[in-house]
Amino acid sequence: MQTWDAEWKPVPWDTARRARAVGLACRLDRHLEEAAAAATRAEARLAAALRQEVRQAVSANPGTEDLFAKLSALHEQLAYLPRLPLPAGIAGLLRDLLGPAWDGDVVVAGVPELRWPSLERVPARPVAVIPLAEARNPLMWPLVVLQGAAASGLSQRCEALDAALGAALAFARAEALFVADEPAARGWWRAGEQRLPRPEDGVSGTPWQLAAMLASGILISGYRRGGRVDPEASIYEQLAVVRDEPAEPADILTAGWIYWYNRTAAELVELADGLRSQEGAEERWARMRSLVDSLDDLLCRSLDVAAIHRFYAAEGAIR
Amino acid sequence: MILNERQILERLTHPDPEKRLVVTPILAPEQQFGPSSLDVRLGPDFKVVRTSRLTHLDPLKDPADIEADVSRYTENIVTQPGEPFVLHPGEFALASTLEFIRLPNDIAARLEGRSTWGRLGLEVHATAGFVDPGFSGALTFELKNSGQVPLPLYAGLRIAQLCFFLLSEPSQLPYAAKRYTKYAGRTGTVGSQYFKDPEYAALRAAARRAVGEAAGRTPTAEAARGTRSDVAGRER
Repeated sequence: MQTWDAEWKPVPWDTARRARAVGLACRLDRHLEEAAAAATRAEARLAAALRQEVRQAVSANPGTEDLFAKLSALHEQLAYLPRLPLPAGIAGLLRDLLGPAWDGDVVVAGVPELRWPSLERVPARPVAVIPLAEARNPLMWPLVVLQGAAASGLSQRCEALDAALGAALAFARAEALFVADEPAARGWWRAGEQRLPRPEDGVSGTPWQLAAMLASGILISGYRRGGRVDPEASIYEQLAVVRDEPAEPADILTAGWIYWYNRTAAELVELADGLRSQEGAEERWARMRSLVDSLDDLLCRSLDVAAIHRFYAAEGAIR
Repeated sequence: MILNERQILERLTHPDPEKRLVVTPILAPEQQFGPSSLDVRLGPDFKVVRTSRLTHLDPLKDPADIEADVSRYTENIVTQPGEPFVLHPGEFALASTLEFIRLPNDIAARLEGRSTWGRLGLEVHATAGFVDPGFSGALTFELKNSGQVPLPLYAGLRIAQLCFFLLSEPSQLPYAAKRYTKYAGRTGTVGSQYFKDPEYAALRAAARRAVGEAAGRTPTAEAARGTRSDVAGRER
């Protein structure tokens, strides 16, 4: 079991940018793997070849811009492969944040272009777009929420959403601009840091508590306020100490970013830097995929489970 | 020894992470705790097999091809809160617990149905209800409707319960530390990974040799694997 300090100790800027590119490579590899499984024989062969190219691109250890450009070119090839269903968590997140006014028919479409649309100029289309290989990356979903608001005619909510999503939205904006507009990305990164809750003010009930759970590999759908079990209390009062409260989606995503910048990004880049050596390369790549896949899956599941938890709490089935 | 409700609570709140039992989230402890059990809820994701294009599962194919076949024949359904998944009489589906569960190295568990649902004919597992010490992740339900009426199932319903057994001493081979595990750390519903059992690697090698001997030459990879085709015989 790994130890975890509740302290904001992000990776250096250049490492964060490189982790963005390497993380994309892992997510692209996963998308290709899953698309191949749903593909015809010819498509599956294309996907297998593209997976090789993704891995070679990372192994060659080019500069971050070059790696991103190579991945971007490979990402465009996803247009030739079967579409995969988007995770349910996206719809749950939109419902949670936009409420009943959200038009549930808004399609969140996957696009082969790797770059996210500029949120300053979200086009008035009836869809929100998401790069295909990023569909399983919940950390970037705040960018879908703002588009979803515009697509549902709820643009007036954008300011409130910006405030509600806080650091999670700011970091997602920074990541989307890491390569295309580095000065703007630095601005959003700083905004993200400023919007983080201060761990020194206490971690209980904050994303810091959730980040510590992530470090233990545990689902972060809820907060357990806990407290000590009083053996003199009635049995129901004793049992109440393990009641969980659903975590807000913004808290789950913020915890994900904290964990990414404090822990995963550095590990990922270190593993990627060692890929050039033939020895243990297979194992390194598997470890990289595992780091990224497990974080994405845990965050996605946490959003889903928290939405179900909130549903029963709102309907009065639980106290 | 089966743990009672106080012993389960003690392990859920244990200060030592190595001894702590993790079950999260617990939405309503007053509803979920029993005298010697803890109710668990249905998660939102289901897997069903579309049989109309399935002839059989061939475990001797290349694992990548089997994964492709399984993916093609399996439909993944994720329900939204308040939306039902209907399990019709005789149907089988995989699902998972809403809860994430981690067992310490000295506790095993058993997944059982609840009588409320048993009376309606719902079975929650097909012989695989035992959970090893050290397991971490969501537990898989092997759902079957043995009743006579369709059952609408909603994510969050308490359809099963866990009872916990204390080992006389901690396992030296907990699930998470085992060399061959296929389901550790998974957070959602996972289909069978039977073809990843090492025995099949040996069986595949033997099958390749047999093909080669029958043909009097070294088999090509394609011949050994067999052609991927659908029921109509169309090559994929």
